[in-house]
Amino acid sequence: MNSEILRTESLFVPGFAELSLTVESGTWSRLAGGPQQAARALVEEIYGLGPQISPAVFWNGAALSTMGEKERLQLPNIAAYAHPEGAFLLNLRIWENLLLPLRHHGIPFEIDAIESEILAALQSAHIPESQTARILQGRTDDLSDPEIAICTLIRAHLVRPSLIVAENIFGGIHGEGVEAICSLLTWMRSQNLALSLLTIGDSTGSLAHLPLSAWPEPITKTWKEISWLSS
Amino acid sequence: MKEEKPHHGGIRIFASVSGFLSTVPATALHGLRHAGELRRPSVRSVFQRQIYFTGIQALLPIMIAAAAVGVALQTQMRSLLGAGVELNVKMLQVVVLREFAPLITAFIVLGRSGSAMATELALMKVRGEIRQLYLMGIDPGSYLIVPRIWGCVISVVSLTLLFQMIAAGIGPAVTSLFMHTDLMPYYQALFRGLDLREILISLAKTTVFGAIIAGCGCGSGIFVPPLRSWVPQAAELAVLRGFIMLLLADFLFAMVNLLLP
Repeated sequence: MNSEILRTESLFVPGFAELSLTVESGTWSRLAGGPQQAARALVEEIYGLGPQISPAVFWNGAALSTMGEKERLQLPNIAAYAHPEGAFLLNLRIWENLLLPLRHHGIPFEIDAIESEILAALQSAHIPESQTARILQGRTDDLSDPEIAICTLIRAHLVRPSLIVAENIFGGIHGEGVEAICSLLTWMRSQNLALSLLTIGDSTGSLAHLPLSAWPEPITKTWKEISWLSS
Repeated sequence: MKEEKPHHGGIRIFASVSGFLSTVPATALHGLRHAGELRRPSVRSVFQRQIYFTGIQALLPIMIAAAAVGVALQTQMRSLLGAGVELNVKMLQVVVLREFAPLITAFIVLGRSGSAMATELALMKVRGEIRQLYLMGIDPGSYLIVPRIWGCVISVVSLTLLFQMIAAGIGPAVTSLFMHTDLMPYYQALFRGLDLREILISLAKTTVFGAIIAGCGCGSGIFVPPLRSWVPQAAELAVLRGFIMLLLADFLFAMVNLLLP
């Protein structure tokens, strides 16, 4: 870091020290709006491309702006879960949407293995086998809110992330939909032990009617547990 | 979603003019420069879809337009110039092949695909899909713009070639049929008149036209504010900008053609 940096701030995810992000003071002005903007900006800065990346953003001491795309993809993967309305490309089928990050970044995969994994994930979310073809061949407009949330999380899971930043994860979803998502998250955790989930928005309200034992482990790490530290 | 009052009057005109100078050429050049992105399977699949929508689906309107223009102009030229083969063929080359074929093809593609691209991208912006691409580490420039620019360029070049072949082939055939004149001397003179310089200029012109159409479509769609009220305006801007830029580019090519030895 050069001498012009007056102050740095780090965002720590407790228990995941490797995910600290150091940013020059001033660059964080984008985060003034609170944790939602912060999480979006975090993901954009990490996954941002070329000139999008501020030269003042460092990942474990290395400036992201000096890294090529391949180098950035070697970093612990972070997948974002935005609001369901903007989660999928409307002109692609859900199946194509799920594979888009893998195909675009050239992450090797076997189509049969991925298909089995997606079916298993859907099954873990209590989606009957008779509905899977309709969901995978459909488009965003054909799906219900819980189905969109489930598919968005599956897409994030397929790139084997260390952290999923999930925004408004239970937005407009109640009852069985919440249970299905919790069940999917538990399955995702069992498949990827390195996975941590960062939820934004009031997820505890939606979970209130469930017994604590039914809460998936990663979902207990909410924004309330995240510390902002100034050095 | 918060709706914003659309711009009117002077601001609108300024936005439109500044669009010419900034977004359209920048978008077209970005697409042309980053052709290497087409190696990615995801980008290639968008490119193939673009070829289908812009090229394949426009085949019928282009063929109908080419036949109509070829026959109408040949009939008029024959009635004005008589049955002289050399003069008729020269006019056919200059008017139909060099000027009308690229321009009419470009206008048809602009009306179909330029406005469709602008609408699609503006809607993607409204729905937050472009932001979502960023959040997946996908550069919208490489995923959305590159395949559309190249798909449009290849489609316009191919469709113009088809237009030229149909107009030059059917026009003389139909007029010869009705005027009971020999057809072969026309085709022989047409082939004799073909030279490499004309072909290269035609290729360059149609490449530029394709880039302008896609640049206007993508630029007008992707750089509008993310508001629903701007979606139809994006299509309108794409067509308006495209129309004027195509005419300007055609004028420049005419000047270059005039100045070349």
